[in-house]
Amino acid sequence: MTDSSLDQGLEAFAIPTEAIVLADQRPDAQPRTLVVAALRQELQRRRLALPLGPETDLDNPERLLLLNRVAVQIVTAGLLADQIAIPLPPWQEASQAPQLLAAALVDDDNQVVILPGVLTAQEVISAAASAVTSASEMHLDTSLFQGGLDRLLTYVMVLQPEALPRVGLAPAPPSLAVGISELRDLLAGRIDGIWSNLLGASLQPLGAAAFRGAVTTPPADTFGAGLSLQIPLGLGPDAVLAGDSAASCVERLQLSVAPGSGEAESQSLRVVVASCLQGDLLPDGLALRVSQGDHSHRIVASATSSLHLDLQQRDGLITIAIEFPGLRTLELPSLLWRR
Amino acid sequence: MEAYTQLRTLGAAGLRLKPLPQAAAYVQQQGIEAEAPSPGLDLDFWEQSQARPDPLPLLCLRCRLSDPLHQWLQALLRRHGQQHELEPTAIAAYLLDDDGSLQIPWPTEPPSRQSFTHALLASAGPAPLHPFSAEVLRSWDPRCSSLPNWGRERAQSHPPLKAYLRDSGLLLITDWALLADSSPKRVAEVWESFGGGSLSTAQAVALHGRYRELYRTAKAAHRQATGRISGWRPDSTFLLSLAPDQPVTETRQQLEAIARAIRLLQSGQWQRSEVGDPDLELDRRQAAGQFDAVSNDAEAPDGEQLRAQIDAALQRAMDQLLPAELAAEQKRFSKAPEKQRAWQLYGEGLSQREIAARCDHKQAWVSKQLDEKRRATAIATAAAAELVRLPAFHSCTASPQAATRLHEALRNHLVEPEQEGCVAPLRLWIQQNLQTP
Repeated sequence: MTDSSLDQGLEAFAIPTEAIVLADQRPDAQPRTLVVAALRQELQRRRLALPLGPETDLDNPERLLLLNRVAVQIVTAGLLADQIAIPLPPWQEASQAPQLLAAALVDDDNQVVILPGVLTAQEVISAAASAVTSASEMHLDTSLFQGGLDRLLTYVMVLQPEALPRVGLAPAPPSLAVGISELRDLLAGRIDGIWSNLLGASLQPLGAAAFRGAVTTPPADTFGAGLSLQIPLGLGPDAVLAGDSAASCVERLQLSVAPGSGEAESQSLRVVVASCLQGDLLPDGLALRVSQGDHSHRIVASATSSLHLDLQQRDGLITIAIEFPGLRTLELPSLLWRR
Repeated sequence: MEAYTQLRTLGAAGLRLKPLPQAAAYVQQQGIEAEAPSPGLDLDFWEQSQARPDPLPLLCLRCRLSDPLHQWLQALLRRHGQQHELEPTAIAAYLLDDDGSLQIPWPTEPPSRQSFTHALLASAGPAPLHPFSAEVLRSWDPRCSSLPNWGRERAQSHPPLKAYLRDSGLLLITDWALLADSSPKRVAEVWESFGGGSLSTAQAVALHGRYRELYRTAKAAHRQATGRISGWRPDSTFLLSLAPDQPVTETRQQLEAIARAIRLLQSGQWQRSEVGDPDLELDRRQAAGQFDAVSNDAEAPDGEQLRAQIDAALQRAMDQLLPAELAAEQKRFSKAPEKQRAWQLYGEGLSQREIAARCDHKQAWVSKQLDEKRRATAIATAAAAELVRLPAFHSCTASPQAATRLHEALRNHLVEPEQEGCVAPLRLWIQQNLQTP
């Protein structure tokens, strides 16, 4: 043990300012217990009276934490961990899945807890695509978790419940009751997990494949620039399907969503449904329904090769649904104009 | 042979090197002529201490141990002493409290002093022993670790020292925790960059993998046996199970080498958090006009009204959070007037660099005292929760991105003056509430 080796192999680490140093020592406590204690300590210090549950089973690491009635999966690792294991059972069933995933780095020896940040359920789905995953858990880099305790508190105190949808890692259900994405983010390439993983959404240059057939080709001055969001659709045995599950359908369709260009870019939106085979007629009875705030439009195919609806910018969520008689309707995640 | 005959110890006059004539006489009597200390000599003294109830062989090992502990202390002070205001004598009191006496206080009823021998140490119960060298020597297993390394490891997990350092803002993290926290990916990366010795990267990853596999079980057993999570370290059985075909000393050295490589990488990353808040400085430059992006235009009041609502929410959040924080800071002012000076200058609007110059400290010291980013972030969180109840900010409840933007905008507004020449809200609050003597 020489001086130089000591200087190089630093053994003492400065406690980061965001660390929660537990006031009461719990020498035999499990990491989950320390995280709950840290949360309570911090809530008390900030004088925030947020409900924390489940009250009778708070220390059980297999239970989701309910912080201000938001379901949070708490995962723990050592203080200097570079990866963190996420148990997958809570994510199997979308209706029971966490709304947020919070990482906690715990030094049980020193009784110090750091919350590096949170991921929304949709961000978890995105991260899962490139994560090392086994049957029961996946491993994510701790650096993915950003924003610290304050992001967790901001989300649970500020957001409406529907802004934090529960999304499972299981295959997409036929009808997607999920939250709100920002239209401009989607069309700028920031496609989050629910759109890319579950709906198979991709971005295409406008004019290449976005709008099929002469009837639906948008005027160049309005829709001729930028990108469009493309989602493969299919008519399954009992539901209108999207994404990978649409690939095996006999009747395959394509949904395109694109903004206007130039001055109209921030003011208009075109939604188009067309057959995958250029010029093919759509099945009669197929309907495109688009709702925005109090306004709703619905058009039904009858001997036509495409359906399209143009929307003008106004307040309110945009909901796009594809209907077909006898099949469950496909409803896409809600969209919001970004200001 | 000074390594075995001179003791680094904390006395009334501070740290000093104390020659021990009894140890020197013992070394001479044994006919030891080597100049430098060595693991072989350490083992010889150890075996002599086991062979007869004589405190002198252990006295020589106590001298030997004191030097690496002293080096460890010096390295800690060099790296963290100024930033964390560490007291050399306070740390030495935990590690270098051996005065070279041939007797040690013994936890009998009533307390007594006994001859400092191997047999006595072997008979000790679980209660901690003093001096610290007794604690190190009673648990030393020469088959697993060299004495200097064992001293370092015990220092890392010495509860009173850990508590002192924790209060000073430092964490001692053992090799064993560091190895358990590291993924195979990290081990592969650091071994490629900093690894050495006989192990290939694949072998290092494999050894580390086996370690992580058995670590959880071993730690659970330790918890059951002791009622504590802390304090686990691998014994020879554990090390043997990791690599049955090689001596446990070698396995241990290999694990320590992997941990050392991780530290080299990790300490650099971790230490970046100590040198100010560059993010916040950047945020400040982006602060102007940011509320335009988060408020709902359709329902927003005019700019002045909006600003009044924001300022009122921030003021309430500061009134809620800051008094307790400032009171805690003010308790330290009597002992360290330069801290009060730093706060005063902060309230007046000076930059951290300017404050550092006027307080004759580094900017990192100022950053640590003010802890501006953490405080501003917590205030912004409270203010955001209040503001979204107002129609102008209601749209921020609809998406995590919008909520994050609002939070960041509030935090930046707190630390950034509205106009040139003005004082930012957080600084203004400090200026108005800091009690001057």
